[in-house]
Amino acid sequence: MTSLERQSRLLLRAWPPPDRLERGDEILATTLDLVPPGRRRLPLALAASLVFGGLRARVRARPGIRDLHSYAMGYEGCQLPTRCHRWMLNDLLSGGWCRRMVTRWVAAGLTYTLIGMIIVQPLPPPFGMPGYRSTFAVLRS
Amino acid sequence: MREPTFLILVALADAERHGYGIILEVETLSGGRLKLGPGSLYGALDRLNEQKLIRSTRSEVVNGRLRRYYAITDAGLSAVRKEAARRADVLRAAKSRLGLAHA
Repeated sequence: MTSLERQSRLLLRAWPPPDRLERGDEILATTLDLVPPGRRRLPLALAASLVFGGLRARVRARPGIRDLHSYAMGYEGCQLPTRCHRWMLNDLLSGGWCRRMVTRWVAAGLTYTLIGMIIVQPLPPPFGMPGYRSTFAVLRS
Repeated sequence: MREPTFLILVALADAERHGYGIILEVETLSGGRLKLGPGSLYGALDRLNEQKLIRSTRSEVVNGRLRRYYAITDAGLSAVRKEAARRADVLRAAKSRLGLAHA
């Protein structure tokens, strides 16, 4: 293994393990093709592209807040994007699923309560609650 | 459609290419302005594959390096043609507004 290949494989660890398994060799080959001849170290721009690409792939592999909320609440017709199916399979099959779901429900409940207290309640009708003082007004008095 | 995505689809419009080939073709098409790195390229290829605008066709090993080839699908060709027409319309309107109609 050349020094460039060693450096590239180290930076490839930024990518999620399934991606490394499926296309690690392909990404490595493209990276080595892009290195100018005679270089013994990866150019900084190339190294940064590898690392940031891997981190973006890790973020893309997880569902976003809205998809995660639909998944946690079990909304009818909830469909995670294809790129998140591996994440979902891992979530369903790995231990501690009940604990994780309870944590998500509690987090959703707290979020709704905070949104209600901070944003909705102080609003004038029809959004707020006519005849009620906002929670902060009660706390201040 | 972002410019890198558009140029990747244009690069694949006439022939299947592997990753390095796509990067070179995108650089040529953009007049040297856009140099994709492996991180951006494979992120874009993942998204395009998910949207079924491209597909992976074959792999081969050349000089010990794995090359996987990608080709555009019919849906991808249709999408890139629509985007090219949209960009041409915007460019025409801009040139007309700026008095560059014959430039």
